[in-house]
Amino acid sequence: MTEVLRIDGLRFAWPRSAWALAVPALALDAGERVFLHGPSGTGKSTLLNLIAGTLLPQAGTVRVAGEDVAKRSGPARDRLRADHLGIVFQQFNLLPFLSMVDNVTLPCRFSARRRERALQRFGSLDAAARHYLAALGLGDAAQAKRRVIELSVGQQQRVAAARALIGGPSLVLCDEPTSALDTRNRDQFIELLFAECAAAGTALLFVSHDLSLAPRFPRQQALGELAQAEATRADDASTGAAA
Amino acid sequence: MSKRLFHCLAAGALAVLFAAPTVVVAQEPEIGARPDTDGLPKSDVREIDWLELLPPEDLAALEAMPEVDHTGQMQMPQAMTSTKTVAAMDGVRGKVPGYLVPISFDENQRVTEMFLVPYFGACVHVPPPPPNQLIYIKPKNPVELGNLWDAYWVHGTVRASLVENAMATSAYAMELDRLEIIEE
Amino acid sequence: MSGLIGLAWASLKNRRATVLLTVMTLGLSVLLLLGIERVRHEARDAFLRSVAGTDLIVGARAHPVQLLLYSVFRLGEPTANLQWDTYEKLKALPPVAWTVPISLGDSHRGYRVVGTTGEYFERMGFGDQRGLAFRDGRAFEALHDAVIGADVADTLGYAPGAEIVLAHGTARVATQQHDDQPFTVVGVLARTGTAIDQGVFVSLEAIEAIHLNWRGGMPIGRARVDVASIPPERLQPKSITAVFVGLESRTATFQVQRVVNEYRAEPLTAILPGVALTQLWALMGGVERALLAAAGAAVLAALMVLLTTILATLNERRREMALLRAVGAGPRHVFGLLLAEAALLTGAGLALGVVLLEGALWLLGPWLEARFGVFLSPGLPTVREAVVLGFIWAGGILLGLVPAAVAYLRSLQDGVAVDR
Repeated sequence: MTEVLRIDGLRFAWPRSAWALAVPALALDAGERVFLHGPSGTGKSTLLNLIAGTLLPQAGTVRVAGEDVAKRSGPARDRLRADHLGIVFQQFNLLPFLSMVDNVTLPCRFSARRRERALQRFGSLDAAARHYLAALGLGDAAQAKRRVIELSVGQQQRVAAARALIGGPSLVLCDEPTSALDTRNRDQFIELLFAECAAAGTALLFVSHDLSLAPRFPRQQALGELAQAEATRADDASTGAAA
Repeated sequence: MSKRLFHCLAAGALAVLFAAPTVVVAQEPEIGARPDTDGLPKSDVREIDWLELLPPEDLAALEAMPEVDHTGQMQMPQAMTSTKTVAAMDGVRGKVPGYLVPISFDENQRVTEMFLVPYFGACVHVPPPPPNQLIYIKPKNPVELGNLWDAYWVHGTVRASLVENAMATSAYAMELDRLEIIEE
Repeated sequence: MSGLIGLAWASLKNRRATVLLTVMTLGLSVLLLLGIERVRHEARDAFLRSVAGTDLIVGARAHPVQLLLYSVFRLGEPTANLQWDTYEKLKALPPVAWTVPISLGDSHRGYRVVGTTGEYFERMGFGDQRGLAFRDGRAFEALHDAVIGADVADTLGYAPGAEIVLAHGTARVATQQHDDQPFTVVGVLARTGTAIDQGVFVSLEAIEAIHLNWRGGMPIGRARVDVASIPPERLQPKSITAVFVGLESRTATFQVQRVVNEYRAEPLTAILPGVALTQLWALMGGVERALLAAAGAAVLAALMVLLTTILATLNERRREMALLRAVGAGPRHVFGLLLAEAALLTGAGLALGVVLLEGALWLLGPWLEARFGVFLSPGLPTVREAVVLGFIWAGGILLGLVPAAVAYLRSLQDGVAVDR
């Protein structure tokens, strides 16, 4: 089994803050589904940035698809992220000036690897996008060419998931993807996401504060255990508000 | 680093922006220039004196002439109408100092024919230049002239036409190499 | 790279309202700049075309530019006339090859009447051409024959055979008409693109005829003048306004000029048209530069608006940028995207400016021509204009570096997740 993500002895601290993130160990194999419990203030955004390669750790290593992120140059890290990662945020996942299909095909603009795979499998990027949108329950809306700002939050999250999946990346990272959804939409979303990840063999790292979701995942970890947050209440308020 | 970068970029952008209207506004006249082909270093270019263009008899007449006649008749003056040219000046290459009087223009407002005159302005205390103290110039490439008060070194080859009769006045012409403004 | 431009385009389309306003601001300022430049060039060109083939122009003592303006361009009023015998003496000077006298002072429905001799049509030229061509009819022969320029014919709808009445003075609406002596159009001149197109040409004798029984600018004779019975000597012109002179040899130019200027019996001015024109341009030059500077400042202001627009939206677009990072874009892509937006906005503004200019010329061209004799027709930008447009475009992109750099730096900081 190939390892899609491996974190060893990670340490990161913001320059003028007492707060620090520490992740001694975290590893995911291909196709694994892991729930990472992270309440507010535990540094989810920071971890996201570290895995994505937009932040570099002060100590330890982050390996994505076997590559040490810190050892690569900026553009190389961008390529790595484009090739192997799909990210779903809590909200504001879509570019308002692009159509649904164009939003979904975005990663293919920056990753030749994913572009080739999508073309190979579906013949055209358009077809690839529509496949994933349909798989996530948005077949009709895509046909209607609706503007993304007219979509409901639930629909927007699904478009984001389709974007994260197109071209078969190694790992899908979700940061509170269902926190803005009602229960029914949330359940549907997770089921569809699981189905597609399983079909493609994509690993899934689901980060959320909502413990009730944890049981669905074969593996569960808590960021609070992994991280030793030396946070004061002031740090909490200033860094964790968005989560 | 980031703040400096910011400021440098902003300053650079503003600086270049002023170039756009300046290109349009600052219309410095171009002097029609062709490469100096005489192959001589500048200091070796022969300076041609206007008086060299006067035949000896005219020169003598000039020296013997009384003060300018201001009778105010509608008549061509007796003296100072000489059209005789000095044949030896034909083909002489050098530079002549003077002022340029435009005669004809092309559609781009450049001068296609002009006179080179020894002094500027119809100053009433000095007679106008006689024909053999004028040099007619028709440049191969039209030139853009700035204002009328610029003095120029006109580099070229003097041509003295040999035809002379009562009606057609012979004249000096010049094949123009280049114009050089005389700075203060 | 083309992907970035596509993204930039889509992004701009999405913010239609603000973008349109910015583009329009720039477009209007470009219209101003290009418009001034075109009018300037065309005005100079129009002047140039009119001054051809004449070695000297002689008139009553006046500033050289003034003499040039009223004799050639029929702008402004003559200061005084010169006497006929002065003219004859001038004509008799040995270096003079030909002369064409003109007499100004009357008009027809706003168009200036020019009294002159038949030689006018042979000697007057424009551009490279010598002599005026007739597109219809012939020169005047009978006393009350008139020849009209192309603009007069087209605007007033005259053809040979039409009867016209001349008015005294040059005001647009003349109260004193010479309606006792109507004229007949016998010829229409081909278009020259100069003031000649707006002229009504009659013989010098005709000018005398219509002013018979006029004293001090007022008609005092009650009885209608019997044209047939006018003795020829009464039609002998007594004074004229100006003379166009051609010389046997140009080398006599300065001498003839001096003789005319020093003539004691009557104060006169003789000008070299080329020199007077250069002086005119020197006068105009200052005004032109001031206008262009103002227009340039307007363009600068518009570009600042552009900069502000992009900068102002940067804050809202932080999540957009984070999203792009998340799908694999680097800070350099973010930089490139914003720079592309600046380039597109500036380009659109320039294009709009050119389109507005052509539209305005197409609309106003005929009016400008009829009213001022200035020919401005729509046409592709000249090389010079293209260079200026290129500079403005470069300026817009340079200014665009500012928000692009800001976005770049922020993107480095924000990464894929914007906390705040």
